[in-house]
Amino acid sequence: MKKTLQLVACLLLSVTPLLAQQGFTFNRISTDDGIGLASNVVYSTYQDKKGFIWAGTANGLQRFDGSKFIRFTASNINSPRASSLTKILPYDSSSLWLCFPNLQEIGIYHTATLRYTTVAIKSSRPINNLSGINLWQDSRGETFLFIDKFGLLHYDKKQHAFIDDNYFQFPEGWIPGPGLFEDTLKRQYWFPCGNNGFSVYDVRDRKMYTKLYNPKNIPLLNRKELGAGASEVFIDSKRRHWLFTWVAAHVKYCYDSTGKPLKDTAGLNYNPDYSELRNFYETKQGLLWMYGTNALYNFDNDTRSFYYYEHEAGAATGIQFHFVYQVMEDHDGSIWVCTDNGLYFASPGSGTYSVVNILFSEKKGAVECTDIYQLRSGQYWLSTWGRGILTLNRNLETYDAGIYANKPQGSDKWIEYRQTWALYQHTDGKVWIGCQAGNYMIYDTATRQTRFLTDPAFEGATINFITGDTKGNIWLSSFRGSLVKYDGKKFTVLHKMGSVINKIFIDKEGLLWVSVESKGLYCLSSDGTRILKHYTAEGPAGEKLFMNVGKDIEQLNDSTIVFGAGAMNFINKRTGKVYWLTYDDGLPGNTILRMRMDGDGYLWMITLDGLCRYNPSTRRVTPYGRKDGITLAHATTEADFFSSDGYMMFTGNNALLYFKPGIFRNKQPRDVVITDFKLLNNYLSVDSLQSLPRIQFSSTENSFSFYFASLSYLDREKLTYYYQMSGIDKDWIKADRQNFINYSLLPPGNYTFSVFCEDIDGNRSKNITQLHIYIKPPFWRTYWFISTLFFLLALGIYAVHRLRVNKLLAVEKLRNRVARDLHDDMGSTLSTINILSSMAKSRIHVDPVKTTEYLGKISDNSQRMMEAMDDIVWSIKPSNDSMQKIAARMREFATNVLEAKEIELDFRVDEAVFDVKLNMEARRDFFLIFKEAVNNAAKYSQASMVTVQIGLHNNRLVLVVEDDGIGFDPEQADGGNGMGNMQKRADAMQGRLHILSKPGGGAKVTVNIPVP
Amino acid sequence: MPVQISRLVSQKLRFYTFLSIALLLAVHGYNLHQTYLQPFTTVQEPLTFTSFFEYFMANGILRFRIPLLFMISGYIYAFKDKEAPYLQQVSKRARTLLIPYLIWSAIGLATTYLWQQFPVTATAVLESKLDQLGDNRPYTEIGWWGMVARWLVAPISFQLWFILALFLTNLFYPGIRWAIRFIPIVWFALSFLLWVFELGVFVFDGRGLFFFSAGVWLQKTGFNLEKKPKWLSLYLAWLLFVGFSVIKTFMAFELDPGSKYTYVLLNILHDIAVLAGILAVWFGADGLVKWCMRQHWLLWLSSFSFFIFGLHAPLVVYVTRLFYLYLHDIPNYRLITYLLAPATVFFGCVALGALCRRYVPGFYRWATGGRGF
Repeated sequence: MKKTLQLVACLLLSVTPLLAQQGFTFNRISTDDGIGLASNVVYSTYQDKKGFIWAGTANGLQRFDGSKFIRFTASNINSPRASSLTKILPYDSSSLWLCFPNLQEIGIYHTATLRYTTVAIKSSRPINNLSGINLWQDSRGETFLFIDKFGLLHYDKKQHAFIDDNYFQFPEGWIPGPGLFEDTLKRQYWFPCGNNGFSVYDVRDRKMYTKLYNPKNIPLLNRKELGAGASEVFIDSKRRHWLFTWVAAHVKYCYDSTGKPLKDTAGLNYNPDYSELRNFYETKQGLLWMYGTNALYNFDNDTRSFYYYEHEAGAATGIQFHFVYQVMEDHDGSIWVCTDNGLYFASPGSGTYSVVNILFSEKKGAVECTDIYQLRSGQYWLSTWGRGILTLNRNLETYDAGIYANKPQGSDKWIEYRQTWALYQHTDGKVWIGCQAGNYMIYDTATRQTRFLTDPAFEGATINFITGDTKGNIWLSSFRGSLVKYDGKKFTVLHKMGSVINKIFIDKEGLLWVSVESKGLYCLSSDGTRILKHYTAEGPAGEKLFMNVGKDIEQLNDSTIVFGAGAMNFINKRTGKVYWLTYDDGLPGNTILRMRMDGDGYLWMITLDGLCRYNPSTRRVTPYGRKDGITLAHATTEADFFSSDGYMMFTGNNALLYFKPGIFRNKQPRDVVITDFKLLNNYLSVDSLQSLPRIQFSSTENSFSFYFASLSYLDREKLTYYYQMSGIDKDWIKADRQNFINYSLLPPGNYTFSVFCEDIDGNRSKNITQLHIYIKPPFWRTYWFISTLFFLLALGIYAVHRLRVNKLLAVEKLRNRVARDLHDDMGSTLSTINILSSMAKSRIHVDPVKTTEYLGKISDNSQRMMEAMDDIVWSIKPSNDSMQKIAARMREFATNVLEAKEIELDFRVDEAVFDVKLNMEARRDFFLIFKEAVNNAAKYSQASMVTVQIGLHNNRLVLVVEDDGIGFDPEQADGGNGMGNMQKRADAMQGRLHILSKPGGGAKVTVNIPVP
Repeated sequence: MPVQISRLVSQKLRFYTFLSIALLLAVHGYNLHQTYLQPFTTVQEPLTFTSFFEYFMANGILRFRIPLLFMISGYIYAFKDKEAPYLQQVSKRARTLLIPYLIWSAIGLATTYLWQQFPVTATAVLESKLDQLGDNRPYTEIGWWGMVARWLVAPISFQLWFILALFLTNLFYPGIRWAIRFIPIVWFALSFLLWVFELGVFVFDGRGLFFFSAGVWLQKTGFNLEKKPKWLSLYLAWLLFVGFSVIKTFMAFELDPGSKYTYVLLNILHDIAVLAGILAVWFGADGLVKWCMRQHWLLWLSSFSFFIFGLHAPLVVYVTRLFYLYLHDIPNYRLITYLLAPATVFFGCVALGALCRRYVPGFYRWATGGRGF
């Protein structure tokens, strides 16, 4: 189709120069846009798996998310420096190769950790100049470093260095240039080796083939013209071999795989300026690009020639450059071009085969198209004001229909018949052409004869619209507002509307809808005689038009007529009700000029603000502009047509726009990507965060911002984002254009940030993108801490309970002990006293001596009882708990007992003993052992000296009672209660009792008890 | 050493065996995002009643089951160790453990294969991601060697590791017995560490050795399992058991998942809760045990313990996924699933077990190693 349009243009070229735009339509991103591009010199790009575009600029590495560039260069050693970055290649899923020739540095940048490491260059051969370096990667991910005039080094992962291992086994003296190519199909590598010619490395036999060694007989190696000055090589998907040489000049050759020359280099040598064509790129769709210094071409498969992109200011394709450094296709098929004048991108739809914008002449108003029509035989006719009819065949090639073969008489008529306004082909095959000043032509397609006619029904006014109904009637209108019906026999003026009739539309029911300038819309009966309804801006409520000036009419469905009067006026034929769709509802502007339904039921419209499409099922309007390849919509406001070939066509002032609506068919938007995450004004690596199952922050890290975008650079301006933060937002919130949302001072808890996007037609991205965040509460507000407190409380309750129980048990034990002691010590003595007193009482008058004896015993027993009672009371009394008190009582007791026997006492107590605490029972046992020992010494030892020592040794309380008396044999000693009690008491204290004595050798009682 | 197990102890052994297996369904019905639970597993999803409840049950309060089962096994094995020569006993254990292992592993494979034949159930199987070798493709794509590996080494009925571990402890019983007798401190310290650090080599799982040995020791020393020891405070045991399980559950949600402190803390809490749980449950629910063991229906149910054990997984996981597919639109579907799916599988297993025992007693006998008759 492009070829044919070129021919159309050639036809017009005879009268006006052609400015037909057929290349991609580029959009420029530059430092002036304020979106952060660091430099207009952009050397390289790479799109990662997520969809981010990484850009290598003269000022280092940047990442583009569709709305802004983020810099990835900094002064710290872990970041790449801000220098010319000429190549970005993937290292792995989260790392990039970076090439900085000016720094003579190659590095690997980890995009998640933001860590940068340089890679060493190791070679046994001297490298003179490292500034001419570049990276290259093959299909298996092997990375090579190209060094100008040196050759290739191969990256060795183990050594983390580029090494000179002669990976490709170049013959001596063969140094590859940068324009190498990997033929993945044949598993061969092609190298341009300067004056040596081309060489081919075959992976399968691991051999390098050249013109000097070509046992495989690779045809192109045998060609003499390729034997020297080899500079570039490329093999495209059609197996065309592009081999360039530069001996005296840059010569571009193209061959098939057998070595047969092809003529596909047409247009490649067209360049008025000096140029160097150094690089190749082929898109997934097989579109071949070549570029370099002052050069950017893409190959047109239809014409088998190259399209040359002018690179100077004012280029119609929108691209200006001196150097093209890289061409890349992104995931959406958009083309990105790195130049020294910014970064450009073009949508796939703006390419040669999808959308065509034709500007007929650079002279404004040179070709005023007034109507476009496709004949039933497939030809396209365009009526023009002043240039007659342009006739194009189905392939849009011009042909001579002979319309003006027999010229009308008179010079004025000749002019008027070339001022054509309207086209219509009747069911009989004849083409009616409305002309200036009430003239019209009828062209018979069968005889190729034209009749030049005039009818008084038009009163000399221009026939500006012609159409026909299913009954064979032809309906015409004039600038003076006459609605004229031709029934095959005569013209009948049915109505004089009083103003220009812009359009006559016959709906599926046969009713006539007539748009009259400034008077609104009329609905007429199918015979045109009766006005059934007149819609105006002043009509009754619910039936008002947006405005009275209407340009175009279409039928949306059986019951709905759309009238383009400023806004879209939807008219319900059944009820007569009117509702509008205006600028406020998403229409690009309230200036609808053309409307046409396509085959899928979408309504395409031209407004003064460009092209747009109305989707009846969603009632939404999608605008299309430069990024979609639509550049001339504003000039194609006069006529429209939807061809049987499926082309939507608009024409008007000097321009023709056509496209297949299917290319704008809605695709599901890409999922939204969270592009940046800012915590308390610090950017965090989103990749790192997203690798975590849940992001945790402390309670003070509770203010953060999300940046998000759908990484579809083509559709991003047609997308609306909705986000929700669970726990904060109750519903989805429509994001503003900044694609940014901030949350401040969030309380601790779990949050999930969710975001999705929706295109204008309401198509949602497949998945909702989510980021789970947990703001940790301070520890005292965590559940584990609170539950631990409860646990400790329960433990405390248990401890208190145990203490209480123990106390009760201790009291019970004490009571039992006192009761037992009272019973043991007091009970038996009191019984004895009772018996003795009874006996004394009975004998008091009979036997005074015995009575006296009894009374004496009673006295002794009561004395012992008092002592025992004193001991019990003493031991119970809390104030006697201290060892000072115990020692004092022991000293007092020993003194009293021994003094009565005139035995000297040596009583010694270590100071450390006073710190010992004994419980009540131990105290009593300890004292009674002492008492027993002293009593025994006083009673039986006949000693002159008794020594008492109380000391503390190895955390044991030691009591020693020693006398210098007559001693005794412990083994012969009777087992009286005294010693037995001493042993029991010692055992009760978990102590040890030692009695050391021998006849004549005194006695020594030692008690050793553990101290608590 | 008692010549005979007392009636109460016997009732307890039977009751807790059944209880441990029945509760296994509640553990394997756990349906939070990360389903493989280890003592230190943290939860990377919001703390809700459902998530708390499931984790508290599956990785907290019910974690005493397997150690208790090992103890019961050790106790019973030690009780009968003189009944027959060693080789004869090993042969018997092979018949009662290894053959059921192979049968239930094959049944698990067959169940999975069957579920893979229908779109909805195949989705449930796929989403379960249960394959222990990590390859969740349909079995028709896995090949015979893959099937053999899943039958013998990595059964889809993942609970069968217990049987294998039990068989190995039985196999090494003489050694274990010797160690308990002559180097008890060293042996118990070693096996305790194996349990604490969850160590194991190939099919030899160290997690149960300590408790199996403890069961043997209890039996051989004639420890009175009827009466609560004087030193034991049931209040403290229940408090530690429930309290630490609650605290650990909260910590699993709230502590840093990658931190070694979290790992250590959760492990310590887990181990103390398990030990306390065993004591609390064994000595603290005598009344319940006696009541339950008077119920004929419970006695009848408990006779299917092994059948339930063998059949419930992977079924309970698939049924959980199936519930998800159908219930995911209703509120609290995860909690509902957690409550209903294991119960459904439990009663399904009992019903199938009853049918098998009645109509194919031979198979039932082989599959259960003669248990439940």
